[in-house]
This record gives sequence, structure tokens and C-alpha cells, in this order.
Amino acid sequence: MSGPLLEAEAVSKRFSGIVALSDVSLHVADGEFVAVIGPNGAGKSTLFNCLSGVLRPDRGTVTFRGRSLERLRPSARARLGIARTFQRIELFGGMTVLDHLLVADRARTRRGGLWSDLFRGSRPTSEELERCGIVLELVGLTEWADRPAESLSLGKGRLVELARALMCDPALLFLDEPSSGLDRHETAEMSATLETVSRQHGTAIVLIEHDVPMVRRLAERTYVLDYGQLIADGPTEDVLGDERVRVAYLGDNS
Amino acid sequence: MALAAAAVLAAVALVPACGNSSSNSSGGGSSTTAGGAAKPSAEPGVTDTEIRVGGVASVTNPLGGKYDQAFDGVKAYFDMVNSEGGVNGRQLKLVSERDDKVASNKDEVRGLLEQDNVFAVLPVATLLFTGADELVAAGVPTFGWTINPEWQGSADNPKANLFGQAGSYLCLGCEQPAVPYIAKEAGKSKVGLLGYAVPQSSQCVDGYDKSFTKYGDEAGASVVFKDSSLSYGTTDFSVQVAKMKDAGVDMVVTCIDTNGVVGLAKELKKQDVKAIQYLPNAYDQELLDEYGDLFEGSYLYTSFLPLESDEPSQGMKDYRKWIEKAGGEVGENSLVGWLNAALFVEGLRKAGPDFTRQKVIDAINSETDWTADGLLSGVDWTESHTQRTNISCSATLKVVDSKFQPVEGPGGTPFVCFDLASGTLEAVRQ
Amino acid sequence: METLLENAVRGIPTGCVFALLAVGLVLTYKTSGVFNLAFGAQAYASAAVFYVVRKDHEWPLLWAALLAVVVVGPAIGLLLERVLFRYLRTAGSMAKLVTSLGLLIAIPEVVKLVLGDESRKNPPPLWYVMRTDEWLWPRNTSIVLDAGQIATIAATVTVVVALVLLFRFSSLGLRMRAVVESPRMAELNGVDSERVSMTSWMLSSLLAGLAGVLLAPLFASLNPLDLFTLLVAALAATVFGGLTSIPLTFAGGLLLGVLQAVLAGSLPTDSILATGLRPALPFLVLFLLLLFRPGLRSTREVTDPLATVEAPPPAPVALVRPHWMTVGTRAFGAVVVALGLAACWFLLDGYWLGLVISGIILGIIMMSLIVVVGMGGMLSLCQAALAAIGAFGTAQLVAATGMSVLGAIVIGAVIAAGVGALLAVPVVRLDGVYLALATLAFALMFESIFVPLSWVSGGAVPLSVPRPLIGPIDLADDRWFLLFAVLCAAAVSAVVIRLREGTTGRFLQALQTSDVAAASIGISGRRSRVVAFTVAAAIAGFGGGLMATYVGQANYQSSFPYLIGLVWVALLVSAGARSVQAAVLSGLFFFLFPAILTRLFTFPGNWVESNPDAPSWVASALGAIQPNWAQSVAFILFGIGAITYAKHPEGSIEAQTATSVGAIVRWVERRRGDAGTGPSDPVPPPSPEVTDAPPLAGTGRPTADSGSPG
Repeated sequence: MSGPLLEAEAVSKRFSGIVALSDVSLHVADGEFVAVIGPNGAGKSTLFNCLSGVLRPDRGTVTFRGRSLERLRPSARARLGIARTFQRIELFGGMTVLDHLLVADRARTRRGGLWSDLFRGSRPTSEELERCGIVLELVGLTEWADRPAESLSLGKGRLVELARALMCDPALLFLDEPSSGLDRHETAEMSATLETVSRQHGTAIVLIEHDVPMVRRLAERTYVLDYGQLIADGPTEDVLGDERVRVAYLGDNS
Repeated sequence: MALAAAAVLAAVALVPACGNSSSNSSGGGSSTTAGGAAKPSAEPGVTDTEIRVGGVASVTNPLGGKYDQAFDGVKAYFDMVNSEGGVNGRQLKLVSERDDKVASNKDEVRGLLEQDNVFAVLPVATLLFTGADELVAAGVPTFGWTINPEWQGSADNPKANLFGQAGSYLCLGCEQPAVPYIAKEAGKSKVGLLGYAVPQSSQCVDGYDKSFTKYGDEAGASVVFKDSSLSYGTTDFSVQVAKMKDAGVDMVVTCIDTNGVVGLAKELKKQDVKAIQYLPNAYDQELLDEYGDLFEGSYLYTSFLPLESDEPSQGMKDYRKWIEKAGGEVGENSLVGWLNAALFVEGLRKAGPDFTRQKVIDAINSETDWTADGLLSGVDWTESHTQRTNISCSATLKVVDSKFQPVEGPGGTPFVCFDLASGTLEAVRQ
Repeated sequence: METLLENAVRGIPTGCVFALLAVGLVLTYKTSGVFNLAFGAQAYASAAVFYVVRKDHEWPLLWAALLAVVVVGPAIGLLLERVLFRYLRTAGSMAKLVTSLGLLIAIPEVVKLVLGDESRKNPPPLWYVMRTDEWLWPRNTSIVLDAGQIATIAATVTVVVALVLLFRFSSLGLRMRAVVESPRMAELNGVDSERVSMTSWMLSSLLAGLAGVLLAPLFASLNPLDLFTLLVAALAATVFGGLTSIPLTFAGGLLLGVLQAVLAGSLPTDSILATGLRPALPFLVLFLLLLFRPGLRSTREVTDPLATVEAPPPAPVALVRPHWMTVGTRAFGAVVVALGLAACWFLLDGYWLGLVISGIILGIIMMSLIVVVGMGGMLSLCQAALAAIGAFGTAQLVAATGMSVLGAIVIGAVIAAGVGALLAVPVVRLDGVYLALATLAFALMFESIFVPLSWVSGGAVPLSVPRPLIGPIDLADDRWFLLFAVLCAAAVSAVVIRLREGTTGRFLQALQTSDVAAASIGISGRRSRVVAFTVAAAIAGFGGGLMATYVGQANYQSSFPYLIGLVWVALLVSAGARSVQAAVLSGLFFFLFPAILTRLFTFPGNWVESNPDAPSWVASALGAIQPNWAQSVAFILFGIGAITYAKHPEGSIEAQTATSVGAIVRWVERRRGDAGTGPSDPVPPPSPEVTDAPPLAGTGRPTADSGSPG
């Protein structure tokens, strides 16, 4: 497959006076693991929102598999194979962990609709349960499948979000600070899971993170944003050693 | 949840086993010794000593109307009749005064029929009459106020047991001579018509338009302005009045409610338009007490003898005496109840000691000139269910010094009558 | 041209009326987050007080005005805030709107109780004249204003200027808005949000009181419905101002008044355009603005950064109830229904039977609300209109073609579904309050434009609808009709439950709780919502057709006026917008409760009369019970219901069921003994403000076997 999976070119966004993004370009190839880092307020989540369709950029283009995403709403982009998690966790209310996964699966398989609900019932089939079981196993939530997702701790909640995103069988996964609010143990688990997802399933991943060791361990390339601008990009080690990046974000001691 | 449902249904099942009718009985000393022995009767609502009736009114209604006063009218008439020994050896009693709260008419009518054990249904003074079919099907003599279209019958459904206070036929949108006659009386020549975009109102306006087309030449008046697209509840008539002023309107005929009529009057005064109004439903002294000066010189008409008549008929004297005794208010609302009761009693009397519901109905339907002792101009019940009578009578009133003043018809009679077949405003004798 | 300008100027006084009311609504919304449809009712309360003290007791103008506007108005606002809205601060816009709907109905009843029920003609003006037309200015021109109009214009302008100053330059204004966005955050910044919230309500209620007293003389007598009709016409102005900008709202009100007057002047008075357009103008403008006005700020639940501090809302019962219990409950429910049906068949007379039938049919219409409100998260205020479409369709088809009523009802439902779909497409992309207003606009447009047409409703005489014959069974017999209605209700409830628990329901649930996350997994909000709206319209239309068949007439005023649609929503949402039991019970309650209450309070008096030889103490005890206490009791129960709802926005039946289910589960598990422990997850401690019922995950389940059959 020629060309990158996702290509964002000169994306800019302002919010009446405040420049959130200025001329940011990014690309991800199939199966690649890429990180986006930078201080708070640098525009990382805004970038995700522009890429996933929640916001419309003022300038710039975003293409996925060569096709422009410009006119597509977030749900349409998701159906193309882009999934994401959220900085502020977004779980569905009144649904168990298993329900979250089933819903994502059914959205993908297009199962459901009036006739099917009324006449064929909506018990989960064994194939659906199997698929969910695999993902639950992967993220380590199998014993929690029947719990209301909202009643879980933040760490488990983030895993549910990740599992839900994975159920869509995405080609590309956006993860927005998945380790935020997790303790060391949970972070390590999360890292391991992400590694598996990337290596074994070949999912391309774009990761926003503050946890530098995590970034170092997982990401092949890294982009650095500061005040809405790209100040560095390239292989992770090089970027982390970059002088400007140290000054802007990392501090002198790493 | 399911328990709550069971509780509700259980409560519902128990209630009818208890208690029977609702609310007060009719006033006055109900003496059990009646003049003349009563023949035993198997009719519902009839005991050896009593004839029981029940009625329904929109007591609770969003328009602030006082429909419960109809009950007072019925009770007052019954007091009068009972004091003279009753009818057919029995006393008359209003045992049920239901409130249909506008939307529950069908249910409350059901209640009257199934729970209250009454011989006849009167009064019916309600804004909606969805229970009409039940009453027709039950064949119960029913008496009420014809403010709903369900009172009138048709060739295949004459509804012969529904009796309005002065005939049952409402001709919404028909041409009629009464208002052009008023224009002629008042010497007005340029008429403005106003109505809401609601079908009852706009049909009514069309009716007046047709009336002036038919009778206008003779009355010397024509319609120069017409607007039936006002939105219900509007408070601002400035545009319409400005246009009417330009057209030189000197008489405004409306099919709008009291709020509208008052708002219109204020605007006419503001823009200094010297026009009178024909008031469609403002026969309310309280209204004149507050706003009388705005309506100076305006007209209205009634189908019954005006309360302010100089020469009250016996019926009017009786009404005033007994309504006061019962503590009710003199006014159109209670008068309608009185008229209903009077017609009922007439039917009872004519049906004789062997009376049944059907006999009472038939007795009334054989009346050709019912006046309620001088309160009406004469209703012919052989045809008043399905058509207008050929002779149409009305009593004209004028507002003078914030009071209603009856305007005598030609020949000094309270009513002026027209022969609809003639197509002229030639007043005729009854 | 000259006349056009004159007419435009003539529209200004009415424009100011609209502006005043609209500004009041926007002020309330800005400072409390509540779109207060009860503003008109509050205005009426102050107007009534003013009337009584000024006219009945002849107080001097100044004291009367001070009492009604400055004392009573804010007092009502304070009471409402302390007793109801304080608990709803973090609830969604739906809960707040529903509460205001309940108040809209209740406040005039309270006024009736406290001040009596007499008709009050010629409300006195806030001006030193006895009637507004006693003082006119300027004279001898074609555009004359009376005292009331001058006062209104002056007051409106003053209020607008004062509010602009308040919000632009004072810290109170800033604090008010902060508290609406995030009470917790404001507290952390040293703002006493309780105090500010109370102040906000008092201020907007003051404005309501002023509006009431100023505008009452527009009408010949004082009546809460009139003020509400004005309020509803003024809604377009609030949307013109985007629900935030006071000056723009003011401009919108003026423009609306001017437009109305210009159209009244220019359109030929006999044309169809005039008849359709002029009465519907405020609602048409409202609708168009909602659809096309750029920059309508999303009213979606304000993103309070500290929202996660709250414990999560209790999980719906159907979710956490063990399977055996679900089956058991359903079976139990079926038995209860069968027994109830038998009881009605054999024990009830026609009166009560009729009420039960009406209640069941309303239950079916309520089920449509479950789909659109409970499942779809869309506050639809036009279900009455959709039901009416079903009724009219049924009646017209039978009248025109003589077809079987049953077939006509089905086709009527399909027509209603079609209209619902057409309406849904532009409307579902609106959110929260805007969507509710759009559906309200539709309901009002339907009432003004379509209901008067004879090809829709039959015009002045309602169309009649015969009862169907099913084989040998004549449904003119109400007992059979009851059975028929119950079967229809069962079928519809099966459909609704299937949808709720199926993929459709899950997708809608996902959308309702986080539509951005739902989009991220490929769920199209627009499509799901249009489907939900359409299904709801079909069910409502079906119910409407049934209702018309039962009543025997397709009578709009009796069965489907738009106000009743608002009552239905308030009733169902407070009972539980997702629960089929709640739907049926609310329907039954609506019809049975007033009748039962009346009976309860007239029965003692009647019994005493029919039993003259009862012991005297019994007679005097029973005789003391007055029939009109029924009203006070109704009000008190309503108040309790409202307060309960404020504390349980998920619905009182839902909350009650949750408590009982929790208790039963605990009991059962205690008897079984602890069957091993599952992983226990630390649950965030409930914050002190949360309701009495802790989240279900915390009740009795910390050591429960979470591997039990799901």
C-alpha cells in the first residue's frame, strides 16, 4: 500500500483570537506507532479533534488512505476505520462493560435496526460474545464484564474505553492521554496492552501522552507541539534529545 | 411498580361499591307530602315521592366562565314547582351537579347515566359536548345550552331527545336578519367584520357577510372591511382599526371573545373612531360595570326576553323571585338553567301520571309554541331539532349609560320577528 | 409605503410586550440554567396579588405595586429555588424544563387556593389611572398609545438597559453566570453559589412579577392562560437572542411585533396566506430561527469540569436486576394485568370503565414518549399534535372511504409517522432546550394552521369515528373495547421493550450519555434519532386513533390541545421516562386520580345525607369534610411529587423500583449466604449532596458474587 495511512497537511485552527493549531502536519503509516507530546494547552487534543472530525479545521487537509476526510462527520470517519479514546473519559451511562463492547461491535457489523430488534431479538450471538471475549482478555477486564462501566475506577474505565475502541477493529487508533490518572501499576499494564495491540494486531496508533518513559518504550516517531506549532518531529529518541524540546517541555534533567 | 398498579385498580374497583351520587341536593324544603297521590313508576330516577335529575357543567374552565350558575337556575325553578306541590305527585330534585372540567364531558355524562340514577339530564352547560352520542343512544331527555354543534340533529339522526334552551339548531354561518336589522335601527351604513382564524369564528364572520349581502340593501348597510385572520388571543387591534377608520366603518360586527371585544373597544376609542359594536356574547352586567363607557351605543340581541325588560312577563317575574330566594345570580347563565327546567316540567306535565322518558320527549316534541311563560318568543319543537324555524325572532338590546336597555320591536313587543322565507327585514307578527 | 411604516410603528407596543417576556425568559435561563416556562404563571401570581390588594382592598398604588412586584415576586422565586431548583442544578436541561412544566400547571392552582376563584375583570394598571385607556398620547395622530403601552415600553427599555449594565459591568452578573456553568468551580473560587443562585431566582422572579402586573390590563379579565399564550408567542425572540444576549432578545421581540403588524396591514385579509400565516407567525418564526439561526450555542449539558466529582447516577434497574428477577417480575406483571382486567370487566360500571379505557390508551401514547424522550433523549413537546394527526387520519379515512376503523387507525399511525419523520430530519440536530422549543413550535403551528382546516379536522364540527367490529364482537361494548385496548397496549409495550433492549435502544443510550463517544464508534446520531422520533410518532398516532375511536369523535379541543401534551411529558418524565410501567400508570393516573379524588371528598357528605340515623359523632366527623379539599390535597400531593422528582430526576417509579429491587436482592442473597467473593472495586464515595438512594453498585453488593447470571 503506497502512501501513509493518515496524512494531515498544514492543519490550523483558531478559537476567536486564540490560535490553537498553526500549520501542523502529521502522517502515520499502516501499523506505525506515533506519539504527540507537548505542554498542556499546546493543542494536542485540538489536533485529535480536528483529525477525528469533532472540530473542523480552518485550514489544511486531512486524508485517510488517500481520501479526503473533509466532509465526513465523526461517525463516518469512525466507520472508515478510525477509533479514539478521550482525554476526559467518555463512557456510556447505564451500560455494562460488555454492553460497551457489544455496542461497538454492532455499530461495526451494522447489525440491528428496527426489524432486527423486533423480530429477531437482540441477544448477543456466540460470535459476538467470542469477539468481545478476546478483547476483554486483551485488556484484562474479563471478570468485570457485567459491571456497570460507570461504577469502575478511572483506570478500569480507561481500559473500557480502549476495549470499546478496539472492538471497531480500527486501522488507526487515537489515544488521548490514556495513562492520565492511572497509578504506576496500571500505567505499566496499559503500556503492555498497547504494545500488544500495535505489534500483534498491526493497528496504527497515535498517542498523546505526558508519560515520557511510555512514549520512549512504545512510539517509533514522535511529534512535539508547543503553542499550537510543531517544534520537532522524527524518531522518538532524537526528538526527546532535541534541545528545543527540552527547553519547551522536558526540562533540563532528562 | 406492579404492586402500585394493583393498588390503583383495587381502589377503583372498591369505590363504586360505595356511595352513589355526588354533591348537593336541590335546595328548598322538600316536603314529602305532595298534592295528589303519585302513580308507581318503574322509570329510572323516579321514586314514589321524587323525580331526580342530574346535570353537568364546565365549572372548572380556563376561560373563567360561570357555567355552574346553570345549576342555580334549575334549582330555582324546581323550588317554585315543588312549593306548588310538585309534578305528577312528586317533588323535583337536582341530585347531581357534575363538573366535566372541559375535557371529561363524555366521562361525566357516562357517570350521570350509569351512576347517578336520574330520570333526565339537565342542565348541560359545557364548553364541549363529546357525551352527546351517549345521551342520544340512551334516549334520556336532555336539556342544555346550545353552545356546541352536537345539539343539532340531521335528517338521519334527529337527536330528538336533546333540547336546547331555545331550539336545538345552531346555524353557524347562516344568513340571518337580526344583525342587519340592528344596523338599520342604529342608522349605520358601513360595517366592519372581525373574527379569529379559528373555524367557529371565521364561519361566524362568513355568516354575517352573507347576511349583509342578503339584507344589506334593505338595511342600508354594507360590509366595507372584513378580517377573519386574527390570531386567537391577540391584544392589538391597531392595524385593523386604522384600516376601518380609513374605510369609514361606523359599526363593527365581531365573532371574538370578551378579551377581544374589550381590546377592540379601547382601540376604537384611542383612534377616535365613532363606531358602535355589535357584541356577540357580552350579555354580562359585570362587564358593563367595568367597561360600559367603551360600549356606549353598542347593540346585542338575545333569543330570550331581556332581563331588563320594562314589562316582565310572568315567567320573568317568577325567575327573578325564585332565583333570588335560592341565592343565585340573575344573569344569562342561570336563566338558561331555568329555561331548561321549565321545558322539562312542561314535558312532565303533558306526559301525565303515566309518564316515561319517551313520553316526556314526545310531549315536548309536539309543542309548537313554547315560550316558557313569556321568556321566549315561541319555539316550535316539531322542527327545531333539524332546522331553523321560518320565523326568526330576537330581542334587541342597546347599551345606554353602562346598562342594557331593551329596544322594542315594532308594535311595542319585546321581540322582533322576521320571516326568513321572505328575504326581507319586514317585521312580522309571530 | 407610508402605511407600511405606520403599521410597523404600530407593532412596537406589542413588540415591547414580547420583548419584556422574552428578556425575562433569557434572564432566567442565563442565571439559573432553567428555561422557565412557568414564567407566565409567576407573572400571573403577582398580577393576582396586585389585583386583590389594589381593587378589593383599595391599597394605594405604590404599596400594592411594591407588594406584588418586589415582595411576592422574589419570594416565589426564592421558594422555588430552595425547594426545587437547588436539587436540579446538576441535572440535565430536560429535568429542569419538566419541572418548569409542572410549575406552570401548579402555580395558578395555588393562586386559586390562596386568593379564591372569582373572576377578576378589568385588572388595574401600574399607573395612576383606573383603566389604561383613560390616558392617551399623542392625541390627534393616527398612532396613539395608551397608558399601559407607554408604561410597557418604558419598563422594557429600563429593564434591558439595567440588565446589560448588570452583566457587562458588575461582578454579580459574572458570578451568576459562573454558578450556572459550574457551581463547584465557582465555590472553589470563593463564590457563595447558594447565595448567588438565590439571588438569580429572586431577580428573574422580580421581572416576572413586573411583567405580570404590567401586562395584565391587556386583557379584560385576569387569567393565567392569557399570559402563557403571550409568553409562547414571545419564544421566537428568545431564540433570536440565542438564549444569551439581552439586547438581541429585545430587538427580536420588537421585530416580531413589527412584523406581525406589517403582515396584518399588508396581506389581503381574505387570502389563505393571511389565514394560515398570521395566527401562526410567532411560531413559524420560532421554528425557522431554530433551524437556521447561525451560532446557536449548544445547550448540551454544560461541561462542568468538576462534574466527575458527583457519584454516577444510579444504574437503571433493568440493568442490574438479576435475570431471574426480571423474568419473575414480568410474569408477576402479566398476572396483575390479567387480574386487573377481570376486575374491571366484572366490577366496574360504565363510568369507571370508561376512565380506565382512556387511561390505557393514554398509556399507549405515553409509550411513544418513552421512545422519544426516555430512549432518544429528545424532549418532544408535540406528541399531542402527532396523536391528533393519527386521530384525524383515522376519522377522515373512515368518513371518506368507509373502510374498517382498525385499518384506518393503522394508516393514521403511518401518516403520523410520516409527519414525524419529516419533522425529525431538521430538528434532531438541535439539542436540549432548542429541540424542545422546535417541537413546541411545531405543535403550535399545527394548532394554528392545520387544525382549523376542514380537510384535517372537519372544521367547526368534529368528525365522528365509529367503533370497530371484530368478527362477531362489537367493540361498541366498552368491556370488549377495554380488552382490545389492553391487547394493543401489551403489543406496543412489547415493541417498546424490544427496541429499548435491542440495538436501537443501545445506540440511543450511547448517544444520550455521550454522543461524541458514540460517534467515535460509528454510530450516526442523526439517523438513530430520526428513527426514534418516527417510531414515537407512529405510536402516538396509533394511540390518537384509538382515543378518537373510544370517544367516538376526533375532537382536538377535548383530547389533544397542545397544553395537554406538555402535561403528558411532565407526568411521564417524573414517573420514569424509560419505564413501561410508568407509562401505563401515568396514563391511568391522569384519568382516574381526579375522579377518585372528587369521589373521596364528596362521598362522606353524601353518605351522611343518605344515612340520617347514623350516630351523630360519625355524622359530624364526616360532615366536616368539604368537597373542595380535594383541590388542596391534589396540590399537596403534586408538591410532594415535584420535590421527589427534583431529587430523583431518573423518575420516581424508577427510583422506587430500584429501592425495592435492591431490597429484594439483598434479602435473597442473605438467604443464600455469601457465594464467594468477586473482585471488589473501590467505588468513589458519594458526595454529600447526592440523593438518599446510593448508586446500586454500592448497595449490598460489595461482597456479592458478581459472576451471578447476568
